[in-house]
Amino acid sequence: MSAVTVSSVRTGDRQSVSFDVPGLVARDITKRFDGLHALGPVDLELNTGEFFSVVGPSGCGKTTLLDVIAGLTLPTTGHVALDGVPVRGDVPEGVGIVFQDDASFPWLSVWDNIAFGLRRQGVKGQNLHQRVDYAVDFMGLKGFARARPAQLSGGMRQRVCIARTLVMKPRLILLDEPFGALDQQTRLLMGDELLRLWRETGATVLLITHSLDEAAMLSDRIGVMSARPGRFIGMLDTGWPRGRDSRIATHPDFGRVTAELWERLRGESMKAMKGGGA
Amino acid sequence: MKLSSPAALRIAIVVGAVVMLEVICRLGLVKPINLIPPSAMVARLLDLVREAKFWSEVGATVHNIAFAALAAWTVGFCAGVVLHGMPRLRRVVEPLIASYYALPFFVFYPLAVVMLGMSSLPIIVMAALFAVVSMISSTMIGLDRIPGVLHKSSRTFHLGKIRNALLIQLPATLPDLFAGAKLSLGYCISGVIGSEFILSDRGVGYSIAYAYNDFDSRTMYAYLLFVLLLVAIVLSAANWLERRLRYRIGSNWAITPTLLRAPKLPVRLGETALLVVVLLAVWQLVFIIAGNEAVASPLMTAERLPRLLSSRQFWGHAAETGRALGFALLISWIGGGLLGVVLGASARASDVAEPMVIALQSTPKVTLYPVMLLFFGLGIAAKVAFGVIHGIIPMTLFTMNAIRNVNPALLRTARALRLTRVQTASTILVPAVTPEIVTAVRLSFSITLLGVIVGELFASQRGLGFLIMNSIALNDVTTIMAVTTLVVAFALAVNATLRGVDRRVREGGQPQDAVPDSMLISDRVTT
Repeated sequence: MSAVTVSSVRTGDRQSVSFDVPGLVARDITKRFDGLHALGPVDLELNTGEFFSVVGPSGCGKTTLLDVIAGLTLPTTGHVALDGVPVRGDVPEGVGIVFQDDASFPWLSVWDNIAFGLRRQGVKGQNLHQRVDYAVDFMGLKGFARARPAQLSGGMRQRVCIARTLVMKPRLILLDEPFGALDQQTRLLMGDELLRLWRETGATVLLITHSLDEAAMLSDRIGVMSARPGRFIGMLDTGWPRGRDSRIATHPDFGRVTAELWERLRGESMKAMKGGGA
Repeated sequence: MKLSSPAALRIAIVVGAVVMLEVICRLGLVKPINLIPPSAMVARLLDLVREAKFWSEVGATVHNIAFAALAAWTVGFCAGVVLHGMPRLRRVVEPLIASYYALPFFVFYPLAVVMLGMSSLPIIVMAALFAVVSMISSTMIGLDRIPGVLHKSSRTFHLGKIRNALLIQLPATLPDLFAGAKLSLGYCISGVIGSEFILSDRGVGYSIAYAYNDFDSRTMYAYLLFVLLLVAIVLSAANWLERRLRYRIGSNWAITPTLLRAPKLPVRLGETALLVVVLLAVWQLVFIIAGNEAVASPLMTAERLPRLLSSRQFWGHAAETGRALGFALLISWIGGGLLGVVLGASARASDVAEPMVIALQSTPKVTLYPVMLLFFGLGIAAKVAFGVIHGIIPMTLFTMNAIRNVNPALLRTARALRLTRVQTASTILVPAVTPEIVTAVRLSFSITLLGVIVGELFASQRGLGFLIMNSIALNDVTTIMAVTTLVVAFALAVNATLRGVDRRVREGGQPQDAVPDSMLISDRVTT
């Protein structure tokens, strides 16, 4: 297993990169809200099949970055392209998003929640049942398939949302603090599930998280963002093998990864705190 | 059900009250013309239900309620959707919506009769107008409640506008739509029976008024019992359905109105002026359509105002209404406040009391006025009593809930700081409950005024309500409009002032303004 490699972000050779490449390319992204400079400039390239995490202090614009990449909001400047196709204010096909807040549909059962997206894609019959049943099962929701979200705990509801997105087998999975509502043990297990799914589907994953451990455990590469307006101030290659799971936390290099992340983040978090961030 | 459960206690209290009434009447402690024993009410009602005339009256009332409710639901839902989609327009009409239920609504009924004639139509129109704003508010609140993350989700699933409306927005707003429909239905029942009661020639409300005027207490009480049973059955069914719906859907989202940022003062004044101009234009339009036999124009009304205000006769009536309102408010505020403190201090007492107080609130109290008249005579006492039975209920309910909902952590903090009882009360309890009490005072004011005015409209010999009814007899449309305008202006002015106080004491707290009164008290206020 290779040692951790840390690099600073290069921003000089922007022109040399073409949009017409597989994976995700974001160039010169900034976002302003009513005069507030919330984000950027940010440049980011994700290779197909890469697991990339973003860590940064509260209020640095992580969620805004995810919204821009997802096509949920237009950037003030800059462009995003997925597999060479520009993203312009609409969520591209094949992109799955799990939000930080509970987005389960309270009027649908757990099963129907998970089936929602598949049905929109026209999946039905045996195929639908197989896929949804499998998702219900691997998310540990068996026995609750007919329950309504109101009858579940916050963590279980979040698992419903994760299942609803992952069951559609997206090629790009965007995760905004998806495990925030879960307890520590469940977080670890869900992380393992996510890694397994990522390996099986070959999807590209972009994870936004507050947890340095989570970022260190799951990612191939981690981007560290500055306090607002958020920019990448460091990229860190973990060098973990593809077949990893949560037990990677016992690896001798694991502590070095989290220490390095914290080293980079500490000053920025202080800035965010003094600046009135959460 | 355990014998000591709140529900069992409630049943015991109701049964006890009925038995006590029976005993009081049987012992001859009250005159049979004033009150008859409950068993006699039941016996008379059983006689009545065998008569075709009874069912014809009930049919007329149900017909009116059904049409009014359908109109209020449809118009309210559509208007709510449109207003939600147009935040600017919503901001402009927000003051109208916020103070709508502060109006003594029945004051408009005589006007409706003058304009539309004595038929079902003015009754349906009045009831629908009375109910429509609660449906508008509920629709907007339901849409406000949908969390942003659900809209984002809808976009990730590539739902179009129509599918988003049908698959996300409609089911997400369903609990609020249902609550609004229920609330509107309550207003419709009150509106229809109240209008029939004040002035009409058919229906259950009319039958109560007729029996009262005919000194037929047995029939009057039988009809009253019928109204109570009807309301109890309809609202219990609606509550049961609503609970099921909430259970199935169970959304507990916070309300985040899509209101724009507060505008600068000139903009706000401009918008208010625009609203006033539009309302005056509508008034003028109604005048042009209906003619000066039925309505006085804004100008004619404005010209009458100085004459009215300089007449000694007007001030005599105003003083009478003011006195009745003053006494009624005093009793409602102090009595309701004390009752609320007593009930709120004990979790058990408030558990038992709350549904009963809410049920009392949902009863169309308008029909109870003859009972007040029987007990208190045709003078000021009946009006005060009638005002009190309106105003005391929200005051009790809000005070009780305010006391009960004081954050226990605050009380633990008081103990940790070793505060004495007096210190705890003055530094923790009073500031904690003040905002709710101010809201209670405000709501209680509006509804007490409504009670007093309704009393005067139905039967009295003095007061502004009497002046309106007297002007109807004299066919003096301009005076009707002028007095109505003054009463409305007074209600709005006091409500606006109390709203200002309300906002001030809540500064930094939860934005209570996001919730209109009709939802704030939910199913608690129907007249």
